[in-house]
Amino acid sequence: MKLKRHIPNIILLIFSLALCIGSFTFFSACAGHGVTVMACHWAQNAVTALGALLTGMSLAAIIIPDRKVKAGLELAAVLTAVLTAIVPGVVISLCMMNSMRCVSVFRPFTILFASLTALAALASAVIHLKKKEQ
Amino acid sequence: MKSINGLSLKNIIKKPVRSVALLVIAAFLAFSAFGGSLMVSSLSNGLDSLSARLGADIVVVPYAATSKVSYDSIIIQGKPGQFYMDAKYYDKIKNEIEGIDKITAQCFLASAKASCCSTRLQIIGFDPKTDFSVQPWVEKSYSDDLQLYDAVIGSDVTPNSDMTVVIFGETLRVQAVLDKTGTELDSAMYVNADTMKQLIKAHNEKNPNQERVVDPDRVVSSVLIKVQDGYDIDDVVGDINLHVRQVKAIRTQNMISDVASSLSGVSGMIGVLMVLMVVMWVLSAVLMAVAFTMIMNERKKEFAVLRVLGASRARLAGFVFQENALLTLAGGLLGVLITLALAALFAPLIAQSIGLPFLLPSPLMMAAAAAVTVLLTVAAGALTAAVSAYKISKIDTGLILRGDNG
Repeated sequence: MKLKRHIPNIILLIFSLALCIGSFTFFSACAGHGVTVMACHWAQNAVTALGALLTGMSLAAIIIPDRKVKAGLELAAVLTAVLTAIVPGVVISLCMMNSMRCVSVFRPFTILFASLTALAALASAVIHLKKKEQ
Repeated sequence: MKSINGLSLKNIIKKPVRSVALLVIAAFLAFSAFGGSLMVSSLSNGLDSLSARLGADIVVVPYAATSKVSYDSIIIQGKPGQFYMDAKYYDKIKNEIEGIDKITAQCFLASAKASCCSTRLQIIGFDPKTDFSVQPWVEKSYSDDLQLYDAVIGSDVTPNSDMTVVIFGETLRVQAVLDKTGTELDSAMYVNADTMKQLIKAHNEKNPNQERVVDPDRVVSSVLIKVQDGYDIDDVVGDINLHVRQVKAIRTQNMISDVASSLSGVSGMIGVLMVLMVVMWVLSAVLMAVAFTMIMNERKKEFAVLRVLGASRARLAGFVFQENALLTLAGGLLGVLITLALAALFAPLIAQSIGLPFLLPSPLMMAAAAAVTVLLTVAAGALTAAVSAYKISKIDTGLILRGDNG
């Protein structure tokens, strides 16, 4: 069962993709008005970029057969996902009021999906580290 | 039978699908109970803080403002908006109306979409010499007098890193952040009357095409009145409405009850939601009982072997009880943690979606509610386990091992 072996990595890939695509679509930050670029716009760009990086890592973890390399990529994904979770509001500041979309929608969804990605990556890494060489 | 204590844990670990299924049911049970109670208490906290905040018996507004649909929301809930009347009405009420204990004026100004944000910020100017409405609330966070260009902000406003806020090109120093109220007042800013005048001037200069305030030195938005003991509030309201033209006096309680009545509509909905949650809770408990009974039936041979190996009936029942308690405890904790995480993350979004005062209970209250929920979940699990344990204690080892148990 080749597919069954890849299930943890596929879950990781789904969360990473959701983080990457969701950050500029269904849970995007505030829309700018006119020529004004909102403070949160840069946080959104950073989350999208980190989401793309996580997606790349997840794909690589599926393609590469060596379990130690897989585990290494997944552990790196854990750290990247944790970093992604703290981008909005901590690493890059958001807009001024809690009622704004970047605070009420973008930040909670980013934290949620980044946490799920980190958990999925950690679970995959543990599975691959525990698995014996076949 | 020394190792039987560790057997519960081993059973849980070695049968992950079975354990996860029971854990998910228990987590769902805890989620529905805890989530429902958090929602209802947050709504009722929001309304309480709204009533406690204003502190005045009567609010007087310009008559023209009463045609604005949301004038009461501007005053009570701090929604962004502005209206003005000549300050002479304040003087007239103060000097000519009887039964006034305390009187103060406030001035409102809604910021334009500033560089910081795409939404408007409500700025409330008050007179520190006469104020009895904002000051007691501000004093909880800031005890000194506010100076020119000083501001106190609501808990939902994030200042710049140097603790300043720029409004209409004027830089204000943030002196304190107020306690959360769960209303839009959390997105408001409080300044003294002098700062307000400067901001109105700046507003007039920056927005020549918008609604202008002709003379910032001679306008107020609302007058708040505390009635003297021995006077009837309705009489004072009637007196003002009869003798002072161009204004309207409203009893504060009536304004709050307007908000409250919209809340009571929601409480009805919440009531239905609560009933649904109780039904879900009961269904989850029944589902857990059924699942556990089925699992116990499948494991009859395992229990018969344990009996043959010397485990007493009581020991076997205890073992079943222990296994269920461990699973429901873990499930209950998981459900409570998920609810807490979702509440912490999505409280602003929920508040925005329902459009009503929404204030999460204090951490202590939440911890107490979480503990009660976990206890309830474990109790529901214990009840189902008790039934299963009783049945297990009655098994006939010989029949089961021969395979004649049906």
